[in-house]
This record gives sequence, structure tokens and C-alpha cells, in this order.
Amino acid sequence: MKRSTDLVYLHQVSKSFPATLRGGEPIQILESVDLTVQRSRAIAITGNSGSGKSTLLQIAAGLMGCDHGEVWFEHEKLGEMDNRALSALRSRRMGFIFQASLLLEDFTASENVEMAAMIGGSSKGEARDKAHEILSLVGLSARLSHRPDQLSGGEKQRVAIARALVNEPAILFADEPTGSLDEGNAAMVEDLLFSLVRQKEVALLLVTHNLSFARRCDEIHRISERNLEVIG
Amino acid sequence: MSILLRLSSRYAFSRQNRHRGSAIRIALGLALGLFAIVMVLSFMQALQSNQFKDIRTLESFDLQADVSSLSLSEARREAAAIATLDGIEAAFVWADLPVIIQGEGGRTISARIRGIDAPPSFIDAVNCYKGTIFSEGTVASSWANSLWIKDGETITATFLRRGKQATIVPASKKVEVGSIYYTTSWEFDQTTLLSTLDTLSTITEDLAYHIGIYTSLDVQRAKLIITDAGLMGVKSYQEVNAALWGAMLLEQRMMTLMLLLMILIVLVHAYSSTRRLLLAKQREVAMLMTMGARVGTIHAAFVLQSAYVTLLGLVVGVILCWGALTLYPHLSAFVYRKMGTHLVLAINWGQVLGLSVGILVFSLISSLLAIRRLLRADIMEMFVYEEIY
Repeated sequence: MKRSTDLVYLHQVSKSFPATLRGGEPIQILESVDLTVQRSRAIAITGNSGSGKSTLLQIAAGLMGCDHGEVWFEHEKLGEMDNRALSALRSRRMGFIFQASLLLEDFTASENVEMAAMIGGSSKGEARDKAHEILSLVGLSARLSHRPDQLSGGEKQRVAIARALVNEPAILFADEPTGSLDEGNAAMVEDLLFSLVRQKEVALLLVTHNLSFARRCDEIHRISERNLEVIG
Repeated sequence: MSILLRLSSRYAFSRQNRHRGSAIRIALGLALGLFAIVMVLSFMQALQSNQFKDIRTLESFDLQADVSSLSLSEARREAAAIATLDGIEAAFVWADLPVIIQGEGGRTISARIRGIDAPPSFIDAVNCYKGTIFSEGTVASSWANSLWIKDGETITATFLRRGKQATIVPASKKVEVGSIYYTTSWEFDQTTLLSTLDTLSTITEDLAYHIGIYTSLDVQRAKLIITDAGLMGVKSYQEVNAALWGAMLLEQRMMTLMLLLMILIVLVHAYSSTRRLLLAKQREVAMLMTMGARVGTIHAAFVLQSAYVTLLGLVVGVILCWGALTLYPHLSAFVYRKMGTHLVLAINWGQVLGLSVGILVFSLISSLLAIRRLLRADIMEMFVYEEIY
């Protein structure tokens, strides 16, 4: 049952994909999955490769539809929202970090963050101030005018974190944010992510196969056999 | 608005754009396409208008009537009567005498001596290089033949005339070349010597006279007016040059077909390049969607980007056309030598504008359709696949 304090609520969500591009017997990825993310809580989802962790995150974030079940964000069902409302939700209430940093390659670090702030409703000047502030918070004040191809993997991921948090969202969806980084950079990004999430009181839905990373969250769920089980 | 402008300008020609080279190449492709279409169109129009301008002015006039049964004085009276009709600018008598000309150097050429009561329009089209054209007792040779027929030279004209016992017999007459002329038609110049009708009559009286007519009206209408006035056997320049006219019409159809194909190529280029520009930014589109950019903003940004690239291509294309128009006079002598006609190249800027607007609108529609099609896919599909379609 959905409670008013729930930020994200998934009820009996199922998802399957066609076996081949030409169709065929569908492969069931998720079956009757329930998940609740409460405000300011950090939830980790772990599981083997191909178990459906990323799919679950994408469904929870409204980036992908589900075959059955309901996905709620605060008091609204994502499946019933139109494009405009979904865009507004993503720009102001959600932040995203992916394994590959997926920055806008033609924009500088500062412009990447400014763009997110402007889409979130800030004026040009406000966006610039916010971008500079949060980029200095992630330790990139000297890299404002560098383009993504001039940044290291760890720096790109820090820009992605800054961009995801610039509009002070209610929740951050992070899909293997340290998956493509070396150990040192991964540890630094982990520390940064958790310190900012705690500091700004943002909920976190983290997908990772790294258990030590997952253990820093308030709850750990594991996907196994198309279902979700709480393991910590 | 600032998001829209920032995105579209960055994705068009900004130095930071990774695909700037592609955008510039696409714009250049459009520019060259527009340039090629406009040049073909201009040459086609120039060729047709110049060819028939020469024919209507020098060769067979707007209309002509065969009055070979009349004497010179009767033909002149008839011409004077026609000249009074509505819409007739000039009516005059002329006759061609086919001859073989032998110069003092011994070289012979096959030509004709055209005797004509030249009206001002005709005189204006004949440029004097040396001497005085249409001076009595002499003929004017052309600059095209000036290598073997010189000014002041006496030439021998051999022609056929009616015999007393045989039907026709050859005859020769010496004539002085009193002047050198040139016109815009190399072909006319190579085959024609000019004189007054009275001078031609001194060479032979055995001439078939014609009345040449210039009109400000449509030739078919003018023909009707003249026929109504009682003169039969009037032919328009199209009828006199039926083979050439037919060939021209065929050429016009073929050129129209070629032009349509060229326009099709440019449009296909515009479509595929618009799509390519968009697919190059597919992941950025997905990223913008996850950042919460509205579908309308993304539509507008990429349509505007396409507009920038297309506009640059069209502007460069117009500059190329203008450049060609400016440079062409320096090449016209070469074209005259190669083609035997002076092509006055003119660009119809109205057509260029229409073509440009057409290409621009097509590009914008292509861009809009491509982005709509892309946005039908899930955001994650845009991230995962290299190209959505």
C-alpha cells in the first residue's frame, strides 16, 4: 500500500523484452516487483549482470514503461503523466547518473551543469552561479571551461553528479556510477556521492554490483530470479 | 528561449561542436547544388533567348513574307503598306543571293549576299568593325571571315542566274568589300555578306524578294493581322526555322528534366544530411530528455540547427552565383569562340529566391520529421543503440 511519505513506489511491476528484434518468445526480466523509496533514504539494488537492475531503475525513473504494475512518484502515477509533466518532473525532482558519464560533449563542464539548471527553470545568470557553486563543491572549480573530452573519467563523473544535483532534486537515480572508473577514482566518486546526498537530503536509488558500495546505503535489495529481495 | 538558442547555435557551426565539419560539408553540398541548378537554368535561358534573339533580329526576322513574284518597287510598296498596320514595328524588303566568294588570295567560301532595306533594328544589331556598312556599290564582309576577305579587297562572287537557253547558268561579278561587320551570331557572320538591295540588284536582277517584319506583338497575332490585310504566304520565325524550333523545344524539355533531377538530388542531400546531423546528436537528445528538456524545445532546437546549416548553404550558393555572374563577362569571348554565340548570362533572382525557400522549407520539414521519428523511441533506446533508425 502506498504511503504519503513514499517518494517512489513500484507495485507489482513486470517487464519482459522480445527475444530477438523480430519478436519471438519474450524474456521475462522482472515479475511482480514491489519497491518503495522514501525521502532522503539511500537504496541499493544489486544483482548479477543481466538480472534487470538497470531496467528496474529505468522503470522507477520513468525512462522506460513497464508491462504490468504501477509506478508512482510522490502522488502521481508515471504511466498517466504526459510528456510535459514528465519533463517537468525530470528537470526539477529527479537527477540521473549513468555508468558512462553521458555529458553533453559539445558543452563545457560548466555549460553542462548550467544547461540542467536552465532546463530546471533558472535564468542564465542564476544557472551560471549555481553551476560554479556546485562544481566547486565537487572539486572542479579549475575545470569549468573544459569540455568532457578534456576531463578524466573521474572528473566527468563528478560533473555528472554536479549536473544531477544542481536543481536540488528529491531523488538521484544512479546506475553503476563507478562502474567504469579505476579503484581510486571510484572511491572518490563514492565518497562524494554519499556526502552530497546526505548533505542535501536527497533520496538515492543506486544500482551497483559492488557490495561494499551498496553497503553504504540504508537498504540493500537484490534481484534474483526476476524478483527483488531485501538483503540488508 | 536561451536554452533553444544555445542548443541550436552550438549544434550548428560552433567551434565547440564536434560535428562542425559535417555541418560545413553539408552546407557546402547545398551551396554547390543550388549553384549548379541556377547556372544550368541561366545557361539554358541564355542559350534559348540569345539563339532566337539572333534569329529574330538577323536571320529570318519575326515574320517574313515571300513576294518573289513582285518587282523590287512593288515589294517596297507592299512593305510600306504592312508597316502601317497595328503592332508592326518595321517592314522592309530583302533578298538573299547564294554565292561562292573567291578572295584575292584565291580562297573560296560558300556564302550568301543579303541585300536589305535595313531598318534601324537591324542596323543596331550589326556592328561596324571597319568602313561604312551599307554604302552603295560595296558589300560588307564579316570579321569572322576577315582572315581571307580583307577590307578594300575586290572579291569575285559566282552565282546562278536564269539563262536564255539553259534554265540557269553560272555567272560571276567582281565586288568591292567596303566594310567589315560583326554581330552576336558567329554562324550568321560566317555565311553572310551584307549590302543594300540596290547594290545587290547591280550584281544580278534575278532576285527573289521577301518582306521582313519586326513586330511588338505575339508573332502569331501579328501574322493574323497581316494575313487579314491581304498578304498571303506570311511565315513566323518558328515556321521558317521549324527544325531548330523543334530541337529547341526538345532541348528545353530535356533540360527541364535534368533540372528536376538536380533539384531531386539537392533535396535528397538536404534530407539525408538533416537526418545525419540529427543522428550524430542522438545521445545528446536522450541526455537532454533525462535532464527534463521538453519535447517541443528539442524539436525547435534541431529544426533551428537545420535552418542555420541550410541557410548558410543557400547564402554561399547565392554568393557563388553572384560571383559567376560577375566573372562571366571575362569568359564570354571564350564562350563565343567555342559556341559561336554571345550568351548573355542573367540570373533570375526571383527563381533563386523561390528555389532557396523551397530547399529551406524542405530541410525544415525533413528535420522535423526526423526528430519526431527519433523521439518516438524510448530514452534508453537512444542511449543504447548507435542509430535508432
